[in-house]
This record gives sequence, structure tokens and C-alpha cells, in this order.
Amino acid sequence: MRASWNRFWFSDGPYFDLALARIGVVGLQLITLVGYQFENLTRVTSLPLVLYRPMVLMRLVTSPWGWTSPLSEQSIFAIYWATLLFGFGALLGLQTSVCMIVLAAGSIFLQTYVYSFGDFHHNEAILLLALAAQALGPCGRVLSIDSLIVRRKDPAASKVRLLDYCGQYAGWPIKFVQCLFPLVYLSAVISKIASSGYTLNWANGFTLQYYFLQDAIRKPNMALALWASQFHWPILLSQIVVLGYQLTYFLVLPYPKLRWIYLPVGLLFHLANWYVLSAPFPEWILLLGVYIPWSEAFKKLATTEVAVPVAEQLAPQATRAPMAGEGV
Amino acid sequence: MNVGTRLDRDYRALVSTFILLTLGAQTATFGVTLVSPGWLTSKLYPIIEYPMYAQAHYDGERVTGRWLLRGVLANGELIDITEQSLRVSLWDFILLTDPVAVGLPNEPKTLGAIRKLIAVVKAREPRASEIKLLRIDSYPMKVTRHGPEKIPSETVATIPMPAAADVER
Repeated sequence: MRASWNRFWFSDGPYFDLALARIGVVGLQLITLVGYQFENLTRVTSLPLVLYRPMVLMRLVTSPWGWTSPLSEQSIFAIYWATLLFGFGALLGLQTSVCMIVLAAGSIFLQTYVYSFGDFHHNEAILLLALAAQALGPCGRVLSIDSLIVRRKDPAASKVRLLDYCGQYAGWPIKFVQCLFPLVYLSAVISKIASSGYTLNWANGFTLQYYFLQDAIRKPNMALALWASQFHWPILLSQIVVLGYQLTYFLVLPYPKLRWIYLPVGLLFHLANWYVLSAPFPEWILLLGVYIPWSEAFKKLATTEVAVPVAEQLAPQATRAPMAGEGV
Repeated sequence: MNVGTRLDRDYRALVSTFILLTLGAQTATFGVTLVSPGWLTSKLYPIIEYPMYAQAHYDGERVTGRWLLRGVLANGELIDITEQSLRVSLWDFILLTDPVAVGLPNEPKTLGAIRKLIAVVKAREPRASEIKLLRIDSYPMKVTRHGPEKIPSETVATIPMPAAADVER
């Protein structure tokens, strides 16, 4: 059992894939922090205290100061600025581990604080968990300032090609997200079944028509949803596809080749949600990328041969860049 | 695979604990959802349920995506109270009105929601001092096979201001 566990989680994985995931996840989190978290914090710190219902994590963190009232506005914004600062360090890969831990902890704290005022959405949690996993992994080993410092300090150290560089702890943060996604989709499908009296009534066409209308009266500029709500049969079909997709998504773990079906469908599903229901889940779209073996893909791309047109074969010098020392 | 060093063993123990706790907790939410869907919601954030658009809806059902909040002045005049006039987000507005509109009368949860709504209206609505009653009306729309259809709006709750406990339905 222990050997299987170690084999699954701690078998060699490419550092490049992990670093790429770090750049993507940290980059998106920084966009979130700059783009709307500051505005969120400004909004909630001005709300009447009667709306403050701290979540469990918030109660634990603030218990030394009494959890019934929130931290002061100054403390919240000090945490915000520290999180942002360390976030840029994490993006560049400078003291990556420390920066990632502060970014992950700060981001989770700030999001929990905002949601303690009632307004709550589902899109960020999976990204925050991915951030926490990466913070515990060696995600700054390559594509980072840390790696440049190591190289400069020890120029005689043995070298390995970037895309070939693997380590036993480089794979688990990626696998963690790969395992988390099926759980999230299963949670979504279980919610649909349980909320409909343990039936599959959810996929009846009217449900999604209703949500198109619901969001049309809630949000501005929802003409597309209002227009789409009249097409009962296509909507019914799309609901069956959604239910099937979420219910069987876990199959990508034992059968990785299925990702070439599930990833495009997932991408289409989330983009449709974004544009029709104005329900953006960019975090999920980004994280679906963890199923793609990037280093393998880049290696394959770099060694792929392409056909040269006959006209260019007659003038071979046009097909390659001049070598050093060659006249141009 | 090198598992020899003390540091390696400690690191693996730390990572394994993180994985087991996180994925285990996420899996455990299935049981909660099956027994009482929506109970956990965000309590253990970032371990959450994912009931996005999960409730089934049926032909002819009234769309209750949002409620119309109105203030009744002493002279009988009606004023609309919106998320803009309360200076809250759309979601805050829905969270303020929905539990009052759909909650059972005199239940502690409903009474708590009424207290919150009154507190926010008093603190934020510019004409709060003139309001004698708060009224929540349903949205005049239902879902049908062919899209939206108009139906009359109905008053679902009337709340005297500033008294918090009396709710007429």
C-alpha cells in the first residue's frame, strides 16, 4: 500500500511542467489580486458588521483577537500588500518556496475574509488549493531566478536539458490538481442529484432555461441568455452532456488519453458558461492545462520534421538561419 | 527513488498528510451533500460543495432569481430599493432579500435575515427614515418550454420598520 502510494505520488515528474503551472497559477492569482480583490476588500470592509459571519478558517486565524469581529482594515490591507509583494516574488521565482507559502496563505486568508461577509462563489477554491500544493512542491527549481542563482554560484555543476530535468517531488503537485478536478465535478453532479430529490430530473431542459432567465434578470447585458432560453430541446441535450461529463470525468485518471475528449469539452463548457451565463471560471480553464504533458509536448514539437516545398529545396540556404561567421 | 534520508521521510510525511487531508476532506463533502445538500456550502472554505446551478426547475415555475425590494412611505408611495441605493453588490442584495422572501415566518433564521435587511436598509438607503414598511415582491416572470413568460408579481413579505420581529405574509 505504502509502495503504491509512493509510486503514484512520488515517481519522477518534469520540473518544467511544475514551473509552468507555477507561472500560470501565480500569474492568474496576481491578476485576481490586482484586478478585483482590492476592490472586494474595499467593499466588504465598508459593509455593516451585521453581515460578518466568519468562516471556520477565519475563526481559527483570528481567534487570538476574538473571532466575532473582523481584523482591522489596516491589518487586512497590510496582509493584502504583503501577499501581492510575495506573489511577484513567486512569479519570478525568487526565494520561490517562501514567496509561494506567503502567497498561498495570504490568498486563502483574503478570500475567506471576503466570503465571510456572505457573498460567495465557487471559482477560486480550486486555484487556491493548487497554489497551496505548489507552495509545498519544488516549483522554483527551473524557470526561476533561484535557478539562475544556483547556476551562477556553481558553474561547474553538471547540466541537464531543461525539458529532460525530472525529480521525484516534481510530479505530485500536478497530480494533486489532476485528482482534485474529478472530486469537484463529482461534487457538482452529486449536488444536482441530491438537490433534485435523488433523481436525474435536473437534466430536464427547463432547469437550464430557468438559469438563463434567472441570470438574465440578475446581471446586466444578458441578452444572449435571454435569447437562448427559448431553445428547449438543444438545452435539454446540453444538460445531458453536462451531467455525463461531470459524472465520468474521473476516467481521465486511469485513461489519460481520454483527456483529448474531456479537455476540449470542458473548455467549451466553461467558455459557454462564461459568455452565456456570465459565470466566468478562468481558474478552472487554466487548471485544465495540468492534464497536458507540456515538456513531452515541447520535446515532440522541437523534434518534429516538416516537409519543405520543392521550390525551397532548390534554394536550401533560404531554409536555415545563417551560422555564426557566415556573411549575410 | 531515494527514500533514505530523514529529510526525505519528513517531506513525504508532510506532503502525504496534506494530500490525505485535502482530498479526503473534499471527498467527505459528498456524504454531507447527499444527506443535506447545501448545508456545508462554504463553511470549511476552501473545501467546499459545488452546487452550481444544481436545483432542478420545471415548466411553468416562477423565476425567483431576484426579488423586488420596495419601501412603503407614510403617504402610501412606493420606492424601489436596489443594490445601487444600498451600495452593496448584486450578490449581497440577493443574499439580503432571498432568505427573507423564502424563509418560513417566525423561524430564527428568517428573523435573523430580517434584522440584517433592516440594519442595512437603515444604514444605507438614503430615504430610510421615511420608510414605514419594507415589501418584497416576486419577479413577474415564469419559465416555459418556449422561453420566458410574464406573470403578475406577488407580495411575498411585508416587514414593518423599524420593528424586526413582525412579519406579515
